Formats: sequence, C-alpha cells, structure tokens
Amino acid sequence: MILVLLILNLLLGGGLAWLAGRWSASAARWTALVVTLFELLFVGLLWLRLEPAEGSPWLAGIVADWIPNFSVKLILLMDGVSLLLITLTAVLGVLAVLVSWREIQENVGFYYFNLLCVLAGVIGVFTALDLFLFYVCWELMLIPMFLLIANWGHAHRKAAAIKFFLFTQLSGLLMLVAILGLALTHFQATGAITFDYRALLGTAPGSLWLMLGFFVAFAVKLPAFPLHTWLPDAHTEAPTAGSLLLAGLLLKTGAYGLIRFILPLFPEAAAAFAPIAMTLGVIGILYGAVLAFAQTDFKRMVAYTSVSHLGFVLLAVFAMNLLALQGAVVQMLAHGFSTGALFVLAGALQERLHTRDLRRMGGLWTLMPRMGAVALFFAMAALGLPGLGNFVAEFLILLGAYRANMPLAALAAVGLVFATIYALWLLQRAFYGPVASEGAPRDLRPRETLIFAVMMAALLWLGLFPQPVLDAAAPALHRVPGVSLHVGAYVRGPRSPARVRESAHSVARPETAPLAEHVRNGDGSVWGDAKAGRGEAPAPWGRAGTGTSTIDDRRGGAR
Amino acid sequence: MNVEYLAIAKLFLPEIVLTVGALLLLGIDLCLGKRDTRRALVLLGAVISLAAACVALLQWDWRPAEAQYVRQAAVTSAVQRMAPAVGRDALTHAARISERDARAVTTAYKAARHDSLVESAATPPADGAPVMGIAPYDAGLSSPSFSAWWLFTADNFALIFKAIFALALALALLLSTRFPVARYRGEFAALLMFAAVGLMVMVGSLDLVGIFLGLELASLCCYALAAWHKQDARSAEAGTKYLLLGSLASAIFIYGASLFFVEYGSTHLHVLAHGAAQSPLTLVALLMVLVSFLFKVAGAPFHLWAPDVYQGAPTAMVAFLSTAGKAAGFAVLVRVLSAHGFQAFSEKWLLLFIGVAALSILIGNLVAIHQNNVKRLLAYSGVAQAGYVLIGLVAMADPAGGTLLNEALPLTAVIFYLAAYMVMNIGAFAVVGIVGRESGGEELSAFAGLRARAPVLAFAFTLLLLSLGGIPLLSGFVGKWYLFLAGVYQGQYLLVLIGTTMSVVSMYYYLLVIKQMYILPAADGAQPIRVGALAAAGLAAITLVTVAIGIYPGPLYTLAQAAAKSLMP
Repeated sequence: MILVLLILNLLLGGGLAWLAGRWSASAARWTALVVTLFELLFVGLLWLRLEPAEGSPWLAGIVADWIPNFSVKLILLMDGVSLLLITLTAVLGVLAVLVSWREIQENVGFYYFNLLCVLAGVIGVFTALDLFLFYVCWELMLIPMFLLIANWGHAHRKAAAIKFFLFTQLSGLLMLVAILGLALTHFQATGAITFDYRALLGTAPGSLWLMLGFFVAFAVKLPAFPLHTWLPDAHTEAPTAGSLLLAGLLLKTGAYGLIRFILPLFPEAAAAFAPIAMTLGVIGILYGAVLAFAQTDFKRMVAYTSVSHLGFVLLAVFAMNLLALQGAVVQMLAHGFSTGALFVLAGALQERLHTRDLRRMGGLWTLMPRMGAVALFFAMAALGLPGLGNFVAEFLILLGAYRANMPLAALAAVGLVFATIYALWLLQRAFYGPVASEGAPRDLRPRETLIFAVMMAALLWLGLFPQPVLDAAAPALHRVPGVSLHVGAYVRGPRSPARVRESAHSVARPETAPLAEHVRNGDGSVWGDAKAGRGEAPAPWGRAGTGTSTIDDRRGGAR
Repeated sequence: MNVEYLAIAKLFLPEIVLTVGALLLLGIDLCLGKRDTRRALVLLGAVISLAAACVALLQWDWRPAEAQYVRQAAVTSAVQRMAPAVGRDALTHAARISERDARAVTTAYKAARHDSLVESAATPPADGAPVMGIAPYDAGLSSPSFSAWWLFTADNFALIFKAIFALALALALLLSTRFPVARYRGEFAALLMFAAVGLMVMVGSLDLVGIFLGLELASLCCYALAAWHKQDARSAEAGTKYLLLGSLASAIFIYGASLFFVEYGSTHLHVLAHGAAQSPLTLVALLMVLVSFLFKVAGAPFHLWAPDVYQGAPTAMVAFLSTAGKAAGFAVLVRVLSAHGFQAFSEKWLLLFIGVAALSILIGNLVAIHQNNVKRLLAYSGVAQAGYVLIGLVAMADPAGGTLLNEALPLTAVIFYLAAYMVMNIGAFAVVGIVGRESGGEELSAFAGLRARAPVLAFAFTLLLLSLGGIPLLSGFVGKWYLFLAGVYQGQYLLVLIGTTMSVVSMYYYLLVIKQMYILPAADGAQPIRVGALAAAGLAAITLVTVAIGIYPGPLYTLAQAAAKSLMP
C-alpha cells in the first residue's frame, strides 16, 4: 500500500503545486518541497518497516485487478534494488525542487507539477511489475520530462525536447511490441493471457528478438553507444533540475530495466547477446570519455561523461555475475549523485556567469573558493577516486567483468584513465589558471551548499561504507536467473550441496568456467549467498521452476 | 396497429427517433423565422440525437451470445426455407450448405421456434414480438415483416454502431452551436441527422441493397453539407470532389453488388455467405464491394478526397464524417467479411487489406508531417488511424486463431477503437472549429500561444492529441494496444511494427501542434478565445471520457465484446 502512497503523494502533490502556483510562485515551491520531503519521509518509513517474507524477494507491494478483460493487473512490488532506487529518487526529488528554487520564475506551478509527475513515473517504473503497467509508467515519465525540457530549457530546447521524446517513444514502442510478443508466447504455451512479470518469467528465455525489443528501449534510456545521441542535446538544453533528473533518475530506469527484465526474462538470449552488449558498453565508456574531453560546453561535457559512466553499467549487467551487478547498482546510485552534482554545478555557474562555455571560464577558484572545492570533490568522484562511491562501483564492475571477459575489462579500465584526464581538464579549464571572467560572482548560497553537502555525504557514504547498499541489493540480485554467483561480494559461506543441485538450472557461460573453478579451488570454499550459506533452501524467483539458481556451479550446470 | 409493424419498427427505433426529430426540427425551422431560436434548434437536435443513442443502447440484447446465435440462425434458415424466390434458387444453384450445416440450421430453427413459443406464452402479446423474435416469420412470405427481417437486423453489432453514430451526431451538433453555418442552421442540423439515419440503415442492413440505400442517404446529405458555404471556393471544391469521388465509390459498390446478383440471384449477405464459391466473378465482386468501402473509410490509396473535403467542408460536418462515417464504413466491411463464406478467399482480400493498412499508416503519418493546416493534418492522421483499424480487420481474417478469436478479440478491438476514436477525434475537430472561428483560420500558426489565450481549450486539445498519438492512460492508447495485440496474435508482426514505428512519427506532428500551443508565443493582437458554454461542456465531457476509457477500459471493452460476439460466426 505504501508504494501506491508514494506515487499518489507525488501526483496529488503535483496537482496541489499547480493549483498553488496560480496563487503565488513561492506557494508552489513550498508545496513541492513539502511533498518531496513527505516522500522522503515515506521512504524512510519504508526502510524502517521492511518485512521481507520468507523466501520471497519482495519487500513490499500490492496486487490488484485493473483491466480484468485482459488480466492486466495493478502490480507494484519492491525488492532491494527497487528500494535503493526509490530512495535515490526521493533524495534527488528534494534536491531537484531545491535546485529549481531560483532558476524557474515562469509558470512555476506547472513546472513543479511536471517535476513531481516525472518523479511519480520514475517510482512507478521502479515498482511496476505488470508489463502493461510498466509500459504505462515508462511513457508517463516521458511527457512531463518533455514539457520540462521544452518549456523551461535553454536556447535549443524545442529541438532537443522533440528529439528526446521521439527517441524514447520509438524505443518504448519496440518494447511494447516485445511485451505483446512475450504475452503471446506465454499464451501459446499456457492458454492464458497475462502481463504479470512473475508469471512471464521463463516464458521465452531464449528469444533473441523479444529480448532485443526490450534491450533497445533500455539501451536508449541508458544510453548505450549507438543510441545515445539524444542525450547530450537533452541534458544540455534541459533546465538544471531537468538535467539532474535525467542523469540521476531517467538513465537509471534503463539500467534498472536491464537488471529487472532482460536478465530474468531472457537469460539465455542475454547470455548469447552478452559479448555484443559488453562490447557496446566498452565502446560507450571510451567513446563517451573521448567526446567528453572534446566538449567546450560544461553541461555537454558532463552529459558525455554520463555516457561513459553508464557504459560501465551495461558492461556490468551483461557480465552477468553478482560482483558486477552489485557494482552496477552502486554505480547507479553513485552516478546519480556525482553527475547530478556536476549538472547542478553547471547550472549554478550558468546562473552566475551566463555561459556554459568552458573557454570563457578560468580561475574561478579564486573568485568562488567554496564552489571550487565542491567542483574538485565531484570531479574526483567522477574520475573514481578511492573513498568515493564511483570507485567502489567501478572497482566491483571491473572485477566482475574481468571474470566474464578479460580483454573487454582491460579496455574498460582504460576508460578510468580517460576519466581522469577529462575530469582534471575540466577543473583546469574552469577553476584554475588566470581569471577569465569579469565581475565578482557570488560564492555558493546556503541552499546550494546544502544540496552539495547532501550529495557529498551520499558519495562518501557509498565510498566508505557501501555494505548496507550491497546487503540491500544482494537478495534481489541473487534471484536473477542466469547470473553466476561464483563470487559473492559480501559474505563468505561454506559450499552447500543443496546449492549445487539448485544450480542445475542455471545458464552455463563456458568462458567463465576456468576462472570460477580457480577461485573456488583457491581457498577451498565458495563465495556465496549468505542465506543459502546458512543452509536455508533458496527461494524461487517468482514462481517455481523458472530458474532458481542461487549459485552458479559450472560443473553442476554441466552435469 | 398490426403487431408486425411494431416488430418491424423495433428494428429501426433509433432511425425513427432521429427521422422524426429531424422532421420536427425542419418544421420548427420553417415556422420560426427568428435567428435567435436557431441555436436552440441545434441544441434540440443534439438532445434528440442523445435520445436516439439511448434508444439504441436500451435495445441492447443482454443475453449471452449463444442465445442470440440460435435466434439468428433460425431467422436465416426460416427466411431461406420460406423464400424460394430469393433464397432457394441461389442455394440450389450454389449448393454451399453442406448437409451437416443444413441439419444444424434446422435444429436451431426448431429450437428457436420452441423458444419463441415459450417466450410468447410468457410475455403478454401487447408487447409484440421480442426484438430478435421469430414470431413474424411464421406469418409467411407475404407478410410485410418478412422483407424487413430479411433485409435488416438489430443485433448488438448494429446497435453499438447506431449508438456511436448518434453520440457522434449529438457531440458534433453540441459543439457546433456557434459555428458559422450561415443562415440555415436548422437545415444543417436536419441534414446531419438524416446522414446519421443513413449510416444507421447501413450498419443494420443484411443485404447489399439495404446497405446501398443507407449509403446513398448518408452520402447525399454529406455532399450537400460539404458544399455548405456556397460563397467559399474551398467549400465548393470540397463538395464537388466529394460528390464525384463519392459517386464513383457508390458506382463501384453497386457494380460489385450486381455481379453478385448475376452469380447468385441475390444480394443478401447470408445467401452470399453460404453460397460464395471460389469463382473469379465472386472474387471480383467482393473486391469491388470492399474497395468501395475502403474508399469510404479513407484508407490509402483511396484517401485522396479526404484532405480536401476535410479542409473545405464545415467543421461540424467533418467531425461527424471523419468519425461516424469512418465507423460506418468499417462496420459494413466487418459485416461483409464476417460472412464466413468469404473466409475462403481470405488470402486474396487479406493481401488487399494488409497492403491498404500498411499504405494508410505510412502515407497518412508521413504526409501529415508537412501539413500546415490542422484540418488537413487531422485528415491525414485519420487516414493513418484507418490503417490502424485495418490491422484489426486483417487480424479477423484467420478463423483458426485459437481461443482468442472465440473471445472475438480482433473485432472487439476494432469496435473499441472506433468508439474511442469517435470521442477523441470529434473533440479534436471541435477545438479546431472553435479556434478557427475565433482566429479566422485553421493554420498551425492560429494555435500559437493557445495556452495563454484559452488554457482549458489548449489542455483539452493536448490530451486529445496525445490520445490520438497513443499515449498511455488515454483511450487511444488502449485502443491501439488491443489492435496491436490482435495483430501480434495473428502473427502480423510486420504490420504491427509499421504501426508502432509510425505512431512515433504521428507523435511528432501532434507534438508540433502542442508546441504551437504551449511553447510559442501568441501572435501580436491575438484575442483570447471565447468558448461557448455548450461547447465547453461537450469538450469537458469528451476529455473526461477519453481519460476515463484510458484508465478503466473494462466497461467499453465488455460492450464492444458483446457487440462483436453478436455477429454470427
């Protein structure tokens, strides 16, 4: 029920902010702030009142009928990964409202209505597990975001907004066809129409075409290499809060889709597709980094770093082992904060200097020392400084990817070097050197300081103490079929015969076999699932018999 | 009055309500010369149309489909047994009813007879025969009811379309109370109502001649309506074009029907359905009939008249024609194709339909991008929408589609979409009409800054356009979802893929309009737009219904499904 509350709070609050905006702009602002703070409060309650049912990955949820003629249901379910992303959404929601406080002066009520609707759509995407409902939420994020960019963006906002809309819409429709095809496959097998994710698991594990339909939708949102071209435009032209939400949340919906839908629904097709997808990921990492280096527009540059960072996520997802997936989840959170902060920084600079052109900046540190320090911090986060969230994420991803595909992991590691170059170059151009701009721009305001402080704290927390995040995500990731769990990230458990039997269902990925064997024999034990390690039978993912592996044992699979 | 005549009247209740209403309207218009009353006249017309819609829905047959089939099978067989002049010749000539079929029909007939005896014992005779009752048949060939029952039906399929037409008419009239239709407001409304009567006759008819009758009644009214603004060259062009091309389509249709008569000695759908042989002549005749109605629904490449007519004709008439007219065309197509004898040729006409569907979707959407006039843009979008509906018709083709087809998914999707489309498209044209009236043009630029000039209008139009484009939680999306689902379930992946891809293109040009309204500033000196109270109420209702169907499509789907199932399999 609380999930419905989360969505309704935002939708109704958005309407309220719109109404308040007719009265006065600041009323709309305060309404939006209160609504998002309430949202944060609800998410906090969610954390406190988790009641994981035994053997079920779902921590909270609701299932109800919606369109009984087509057995379309209202299914909102949340597991650990969703919970983390919902938390990210709530936090960034508050920050987005704060960021827009002074920037948006026109039509404020409608602006906050759209902002809160985007948040509602995002939370819907993170929780909807009826594919029809998922598609609805997927599209619902789109229209308010389109309006945000088109109405309150910068100079070329209209073209950018339409480009963004059409890219996402087209890919979304391909996903729609894939959803229909998946439901058809299920119908042909069982004679019942359903769009229930849990029922559709294991319907078409090897269907490459259906997987591609989903993949394209998620790859556009992510964005993966050849489909990323909307992103620099949309990010650059969006208002600051729009960029923050795009980078922080909307890109994450793509990554979330990969983890939630591609791997569990199509484990075999995904395994077959993995080399291509990982290659795309690595191309994204390198290509994004190189292009980022070449940009002169602050926001455009940060946008390309997003392409680079999310390349890591694509690499991780298709490495298909727990280590990499854990890394992907941390990367999603860390990127949300670090890149989001850089966009906020860009917005703050634009407000003060009226330009985003890096060639016209320089020596800003002397003018605005506090902002310079903040920029230094987030640039370090972007380049993956140990101790900050991105480092943990990229480290885990590289470890996992190394086990899946060594050459690609090595290439991806080169991306870290590129990241160092562009991050330092950014600092050099904007904040060091001779002072280029005239006037005395004001240093950070308290409101901005607060925003950056929250993001810094989050990154430090992710970097220094990622264990709670890993723990929260692990039970959900364990149940992703087809993911090899030969190396658990967080706890060591004795080898259990039960798990080896279970793993007979898992998907074999031969190229990783020797490595896995090596690790296992190295210390005579297996890194594995904590719960399974305590001897409990692993619970099925969704319904019985659809891929229940909790540990991937090559030999078990071969037998 | 003879009970039989009452029974016949029940076949035509909505038509009778509308006809009487239209005549009443004309009478009042003749008696009262004052201009002020004329607006009230249009309102009266709208109320009468609403009443007709209610009548159509009140006639709804709530019994399970199987019970309806028994009755209809009995009707068919009774007619065929009692009508040697019409049926038997054809039947012996074609001899298409296998012995098993004939036995089944006879059994059904007996069962139905028994049923009707029981029913007439249970209900007081003053009620007359039940709507689908067969009591009149026993009266024999000479009775007047015979020809009526032979030619017309009032099954749920016909009724839902009658309701759609009546509602479309009511909305078109309601929204047009302030449209400039010169001095002849009363006649305008009456002609529209007669056109609706024609469409109703069309969907209720079981005989090609009956269909032709309705088609011509509707067309003749529409020709006059298209050329309504006598002084306006565009309107005259629209009228001429529509007259010429419409007559051509009618001619093709009647030629096809005559070929059927040559082959079978009858133009009745049941005869044709049971008797259709795989002869070249039948195929040619069938294709001619189909093509003439593809013309009516403006499917590419038979769409060329649509943009010009839509642009020149009065907006209220266009709103009606583009929704009710299109729906009627599809209803007749479905009625003809559902006659299962034609399924034998499904590969042949399927090819035609797949081609027309793909072309309509492609041409409609791609050409719409370049339109500068919103009415023309909506005309091309209407061509594309016809293509989407054709996906559903294509999906009807394969009778061996498994259990889903028993649930009549494709046909249900078609009816659902036509109903949803009626609501949203009329709304869209109403907005165009209002803006056109107030700013003197229907160019894209007339919509600039509409957000500031008429916020409610802009919001409603945005929702309607998004619905036309197929954005979730609006009725258009659900309709497309069902159509695409039906297409996918029939394995028409390519067609569905074209449909989805082109939906994106359609979003592009709908967004262009939305951009005009929301992002571009109004032209200098642009006035705020006055929306009449009636139009505002109608528009609010339309928008609400669009959203309501989008969020909770269950009821409409159930209704559409019942209508789809009432067609004889």
